Amino acid sequence: MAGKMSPRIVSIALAVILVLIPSLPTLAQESDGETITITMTTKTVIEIELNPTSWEIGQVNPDTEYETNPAQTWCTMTNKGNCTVNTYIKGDDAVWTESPSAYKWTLSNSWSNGMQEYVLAYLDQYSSSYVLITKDESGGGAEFYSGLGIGEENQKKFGLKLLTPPSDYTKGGVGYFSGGGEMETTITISGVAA
Amino acid sequence: MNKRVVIIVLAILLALAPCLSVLAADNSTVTITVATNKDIDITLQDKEGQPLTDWDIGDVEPNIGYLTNPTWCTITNEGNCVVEIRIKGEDATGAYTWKLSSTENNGKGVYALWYHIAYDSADSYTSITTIDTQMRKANGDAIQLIGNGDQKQFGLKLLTPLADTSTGHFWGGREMKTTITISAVAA
Repeated sequence: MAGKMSPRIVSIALAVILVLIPSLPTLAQESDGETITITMTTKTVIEIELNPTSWEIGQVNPDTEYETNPAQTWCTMTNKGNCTVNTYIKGDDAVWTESPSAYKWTLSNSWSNGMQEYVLAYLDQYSSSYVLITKDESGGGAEFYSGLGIGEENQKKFGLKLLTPPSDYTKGGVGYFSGGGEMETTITISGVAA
Repeated sequence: MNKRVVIIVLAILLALAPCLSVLAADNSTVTITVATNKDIDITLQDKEGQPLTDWDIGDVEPNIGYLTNPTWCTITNEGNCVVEIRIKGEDATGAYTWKLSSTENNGKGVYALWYHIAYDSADSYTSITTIDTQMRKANGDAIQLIGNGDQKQFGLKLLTPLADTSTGHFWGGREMKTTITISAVAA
C-alpha cells in the first residue's frame, strides 16, 4: 500500500482544488497594497511687532524739524511670525484731533514742507541718511526692509523725523497753526511673506 | 449649482492657492501726535461788525424788563482751537449799588440779568450771576466755538430793581453801570 494513494482520496483532493480555483484571484487582491497620499501645508503666520508704537512729540513750532531720540534706534521691528517677510512703509496726512475733517496737514511727497504740508522720514540703524516716507495711497507702501528674519536675533531698528509746516498765521509775533491743540498721524509698516 | 460654474470656481481656487502665502500680510502702525500752540481769542461785535462794548439802555424805571435783540451780540472765535464760552455778571454801581440777583428774582436794590442764545427756543433766557458759568442753550448743550471763524449770537435781558421811593420810582438822575464778562477757555 505504501506509495499508493487511494483513488478515493485523490478524487477528494482534486475536488477541493477545483472548488478553490475560482477564488484564487480574490485571494490575490486581498494581499495587494493601495496608498493614500496626504498633503498638508503649514499655516503662514505673518506678524510684525513695533516697539514703541507711539511718538508723542509734545509742543511743536511751525517750520521746525523734530527727531526721535535715539535718532536711529528709536523703534524696534521684530518678526513675530513664522516666515521671512518683506516690509513696506507708508505715511498719512496728519489731522486735527478736534475736528479731523476741518483741518489737516498733507504729507509731502518731497523733502519740502509747505502751507499745511509736512514731511516725514525714517533713518535706519545702518544708514547715514534719512529716507522719505510718503502716502502711497494706491499701494502697500515703499519698500522698507526686505528679508526680515524671524525672532529677536533679526530685529531691525529705525528712527523718525518730522518737519512741521510753516505757520498759518501770526499774532503778536507768534506763529500759529489754524488747528490749535493736537495733530495726529500714523505710519503703517506692513509685512508680506518673502 | 451648475456643473460648469463649479468647475470654474474650483479652477480659480486652485489657481489662487499658490499665491495665498504671498498675499498674507500684517500691518503695524506707529501713531505720531504733536501738540500745537493754542491761540484763544474771541471778539464781540454788533450787527454791523463793529466791536461791541456797550449797551446803553437809557432811562429805566423800576421793576421793568429791558431786552436787546436776540442777535444783538456776535461772539467770534478768532483763535485756532475749540473754546467754550463762559459768562458772568456783577453788581451795578453808581451813586449806590444794585446787587446782581442769584435767583432770577429782583428786589429792592437787587436786579437780574439773563442771556438768550439766538435761534434757541423762544423766550429761553438763562440767568447770569456773579459766578462764572458756561453758556448753554435751553436744552443744556454747551456753547462751543469750533475753530477759527465760528460764531454764536446772543441777546440780553435786564430786570431793574423794585422802586426806591414810596411813590414807585428810583432816586432820580442816577447813572448805574455794570459789566458782563464773556470769556473763552479751551474746550
